[in-house]
Amino acid sequence: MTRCPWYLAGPLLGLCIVGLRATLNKPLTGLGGFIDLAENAAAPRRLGYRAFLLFGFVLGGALFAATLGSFSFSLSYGTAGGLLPAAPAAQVTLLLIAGTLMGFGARTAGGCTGSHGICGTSLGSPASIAAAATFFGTALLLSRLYTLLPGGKP
Amino acid sequence: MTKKLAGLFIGVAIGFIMAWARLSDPAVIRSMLLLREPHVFLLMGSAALVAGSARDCCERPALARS
Repeated sequence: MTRCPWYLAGPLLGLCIVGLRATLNKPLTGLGGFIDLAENAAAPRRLGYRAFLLFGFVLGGALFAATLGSFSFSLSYGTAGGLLPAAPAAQVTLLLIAGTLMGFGARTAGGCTGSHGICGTSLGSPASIAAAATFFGTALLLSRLYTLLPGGKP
Repeated sequence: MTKKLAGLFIGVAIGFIMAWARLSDPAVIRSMLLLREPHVFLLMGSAALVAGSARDCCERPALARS
């Protein structure tokens, strides 16, 4: 199956956000699902919609892979695997640090790229626009700087 | 339970669309961050535009009544 073009995928995602607002009156959240799970692990209670949304993301991705016939469990990081250190322990350490920073950043900013960048900006929230600009500006700058480092991948 | 099921179904739809658009591929995200392809920026922009337009359409009758 060819890659879904942006002019189809974007509006479909937008409609999903509208559907979320219409049925649950809640915003889109990505890392919120992880926060729900982490809070539940610390103090067990009933999981909220954010955790089920997260389960849905994983199921949806798996469903897509299944339709292609390419579903399989793997520890590989896909086409970006070459960017990571070769040693598995170093890979895991790096990914854990990166995940921790992402979680800390999203918690501090009150949302992640999806919630601020798509949902918040569509609502015209100045805080979301500022957060999305900061996320993307920093990521663009650091990605470019990484390519300039000695040993950095172009 | 209905709300959780609704969240799950919408999550499945979003996950499927994101995987179909190759947003699950770290190389695609890296290409976006290195400004090598505009696909992801256009996707996010059009998603925000559609969601924002729908919100405006839904709120307009309420504003007219007030």
